[in-house]
This record gives sequence, C-alpha cells and structure tokens, in this order.
Amino acid sequence: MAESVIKIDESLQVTEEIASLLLFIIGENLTNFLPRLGIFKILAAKARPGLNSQITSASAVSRFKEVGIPTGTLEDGTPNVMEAYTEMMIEVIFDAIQSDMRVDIAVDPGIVVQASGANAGGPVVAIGATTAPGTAVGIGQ
Amino acid sequence: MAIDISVNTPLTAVQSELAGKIGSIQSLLSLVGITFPTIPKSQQMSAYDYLLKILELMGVNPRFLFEVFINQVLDENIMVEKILKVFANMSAKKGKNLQSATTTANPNSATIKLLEETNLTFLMSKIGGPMKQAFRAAKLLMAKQLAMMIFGKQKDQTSNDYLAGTTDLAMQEKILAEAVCGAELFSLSNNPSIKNEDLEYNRIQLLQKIQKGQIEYKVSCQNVEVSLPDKPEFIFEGGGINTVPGSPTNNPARGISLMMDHVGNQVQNKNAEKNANSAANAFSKSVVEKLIQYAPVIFRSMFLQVFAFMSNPSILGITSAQQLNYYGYDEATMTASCCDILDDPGNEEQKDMATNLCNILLQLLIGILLTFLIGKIKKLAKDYFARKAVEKLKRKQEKLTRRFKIINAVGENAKKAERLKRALAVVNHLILKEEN
Repeated sequence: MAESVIKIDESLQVTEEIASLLLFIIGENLTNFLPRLGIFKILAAKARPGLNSQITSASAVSRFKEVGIPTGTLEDGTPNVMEAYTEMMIEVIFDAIQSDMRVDIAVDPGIVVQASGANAGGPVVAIGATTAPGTAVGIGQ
Repeated sequence: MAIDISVNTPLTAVQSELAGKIGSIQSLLSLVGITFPTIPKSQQMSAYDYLLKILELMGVNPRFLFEVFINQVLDENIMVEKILKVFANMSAKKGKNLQSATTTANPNSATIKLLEETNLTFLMSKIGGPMKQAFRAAKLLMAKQLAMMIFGKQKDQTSNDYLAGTTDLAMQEKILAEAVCGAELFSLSNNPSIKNEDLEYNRIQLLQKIQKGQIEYKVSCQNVEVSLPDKPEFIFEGGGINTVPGSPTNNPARGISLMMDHVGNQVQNKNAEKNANSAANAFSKSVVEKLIQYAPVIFRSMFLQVFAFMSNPSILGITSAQQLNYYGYDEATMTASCCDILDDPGNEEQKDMATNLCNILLQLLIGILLTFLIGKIKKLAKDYFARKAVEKLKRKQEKLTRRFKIINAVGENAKKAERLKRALAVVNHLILKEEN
C-alpha cells in the first residue's frame, strides 16, 4: 500500500474534532430551546389530567401518517400490529411512570415565614426565614 | 424412524413472564454492541473530504467557497505572509534565527515556535513590501501555468508560449513534466488502500493526456474530454472567445473562474446541457486540488524571489555559499521540483518546502469550508428547532381545542335535549302509542 509522498500535517487530521464541534453546535441549539417554566405554570400543574396511555396512544397513532405508517386494519385484512405495539409500549412506559417513578424535591432555605400572636404586652408579629433546605416527595401521575 | 411428537404444554402467566424476561435479558446480554474501532487519523476520512461530504448532505454546492479560496491564494496580501511563514518555519526548525543570524542547537517545539515568529517578523519587515510587488507581478503567470499544468500541451504553440510565459521549449516541457510528477505527490484525501502501482498507472495516463492537451472528466458516469480554447488569452485578459482579447486585468482568480465556466460550456456542447453546471462544479473541485498539489511548482518563483531579495547587499547580502549556514537550507534543496521529490521520496529535507506549503494551503481551504459550515449549521439547527417548536405549539393548540370541544359538547347536548322536548310536545299526538 502507498501513502502520498507529501503527507497531510497531523494538525489538519481533525475530522473527529470537526464532527464533535458541529455536533456541539446542533446540541447547543437543542438545549437552548427548552424554556424554563414560570412559577404560575408550575402551580397550574394541579389542573393537569394526568397520563392516560389510551389517549397518548391515540395521539401517537394519529401522527403515523406524518412518517408514512398506515393506520387501521391493513389492506389484506390483517390487524395493524404497529398500532397494537404503540399502545402496548406506551402503556408499559406510563405504568412504570405511575407505579415506579419517584419525584424528589429539594426546597432552598430562605423561605419567608410570618407569624402573629399575642402576649401580655399585646399583639406580636414575627417575621423570619427558614434556615435549612427542605425536602419533599412526589408521585408522577 | 419414529415420529417426532411435539409437546405443546401451556405456560402460566408467571412462567411466561419469567421466560419472557429471561429471554429478553439473554438477548440484551448476547447482543454484541456496535463498536467503532479506533481508526488511525491517517486512515480516517480526511477533514477536507468530510467537510465536502457535510456540505453535500446540506445541499450546498461548494464552488463559491472554492472561488473564495482561489481568490485568497492569488491575493498578495494573504499569500506573501504564508510564503514567508513557510520560509520562517523551515529555518526555525533548523534553529536558525534570521534576525540575529544565530543558531540554536536541537531546538524544542517552544523554541521553534518562538524562532518562527521572530523569523516571520524579520522577513516581513525586510522584504514583505517588495515580495507583495513581486507577487502582484507574477500571479497572472502563476494562474496561466496552473492552466497549462491542468490542461497540458496546446495544439497551437503560441498558446503554449502564452501559458508558460516563455518561448523556451525545454522550460515548457519541464512545466508539463512537473504536472505529471506533482499530480499524486500530495493528496487532500487519506487513501489507506491505494497501491503504488495504481499511482504509477495514473501518472502514465496523465502524461498521455497532458501531451495530447485533452483532459477527461467523468460527468454523469460518462467520460468527457475537455480542453482549453484555441486562444486561451480571453480567459485571462477579458474579451470573448470570438472577439479581440482585452487588456490584461491582472485578476487571475477571475480567469480561473472563467476557465471553470468554459469547461461547463464544453460539456454542454459535447455531452448534455443539464450536465454543464455539474461539470463546472466538479472541475472547480479539481482546480482547487490541483492548485494545492502544484503549489510547490507554481510558487517556486516566489521562493526563489525570497532568496534573490535576501542576497541583495542592501538587505542582507547572503551569497549562495552562505545560504545553507544562514537559513539551514540552500536554494536548490529548498526549492526542489516535484520530479526531484518523486525521484527521492525519502529525502525529507528536499520535500520540506513542498510539505509546508501544501499543508498551509490545505489549512486555508479547510478554514474557509469550516467557517462557512459552522455558520450554516448554526442557522440550520436554529431553523430546524424553531420549526419543530412551531409544529409542537400547533399540536398543543389543537389538543386544547379538542378539550374545549368536549366542554362545549356538554352545553350542546343540553340544547339538543331542550329542542327534542319542544319537538316532542308538538308532535306527541301524532305518534302512535303501543297499547299495553
């Protein structure tokens, strides 16, 4: 086997690094897009209906046409296993989320606390802040 | 032979669950993951090829980027510094400090870098200006010689004289010989599986074509022969193929661009109209590759000019006998021809200048392609994710609309019931009632 008499400088053999750089640029755009949720949006989560595998499967199946997957019974009369598979997969995933997922919450210290009361001297109002972080648990539904 | 009686016993739910899980774990464990072997860098796809591949995937025709490169290579404000950088680097590797005329024995990489910077500053200050003038005067000839090396010998001798810039036949033959020797000397691609015999065969083929002045290009799986026009002056001096050439414009980059268009026009005539652009584009890639491969030949006069300026008593007055001691190279070794290098490929010193120059030009080309690609990919990724976000928002709105429809449907049903009640009240007497 032959190599060129004049070789490409090692500092220019950077295909791997170029690929990594371009991947980073694409990835940067991907992560930049995710918006941070505002506090009201988080509070409004109480109104969410929760996950329902049948509704989600129906949504997924309704989008099959976007990628060219047929929906409904196939032309030769056989059942559409792709639809059944989608429903099964989503059911398994949602089941895991609803049964196994755990949400650990950590609350920063510094939450303002206000209390009022009274003693012999008259009414007392106390204002302070939590000094230690708090924890909480949640369930994915 | 006994009949093989199959046993078909059903499994309970627990048994089938265990069997399913064991089976899936086993297949996950036994599946050999796709592993990418560590490929040595010299055997991977070269950075140049990879960038072209990405551009192709993005549907970008790189011809305009090649034209930017050609413009830069023929721009004295860019190239003089690069030429002097090659000179400065080579002397630095030998530990030579051109400014103080001292030598550092066995210089390490940091010393080499420092010496290179010192040498470049020194050379730029001493001969940067005159070198730019010399480059400006020579660049048209460099472009014409490149055309001669690509297309070979012309039928009309005056065209050969014009392209070579000399009527010396021996010199013209030398340029053509250099075209053959230089063709496979430096490759912009990494070819781990190419054979020496193949390279030699290609050189022989190229020699025949260059002697004939007919170069073949593959366009849409067909070989098409292309050549320069009978009077190539119009390419470099303006005017038209059938009109009187204009005065030289000293814009050789524009001349090379016209040369690419000419190849496209020829293919249009000989092959098919639809292939004209693809031929011109394929040729532009070839021109850029040849420009780098033939750079040691095309730029040789510039390196000789450096020696000439430096030997001037008013600058340094370095005589031929003192050159080796001063630069670490003498003129003949440093400016060895492509054929000299090919004759003695193991002689590293002889090919030092060619190696440096070809790699500096490749770096310039990769820089142009990569800079463009980064901007393009940033925009593409931004547009792609923005479009995806719009689609997602649209789907979300549709979902909300569907939810509201359900709420509306409750009100609608109440209205329907009211309408039914009113209708029944009117037509009730007409409906036959079943007798119990």
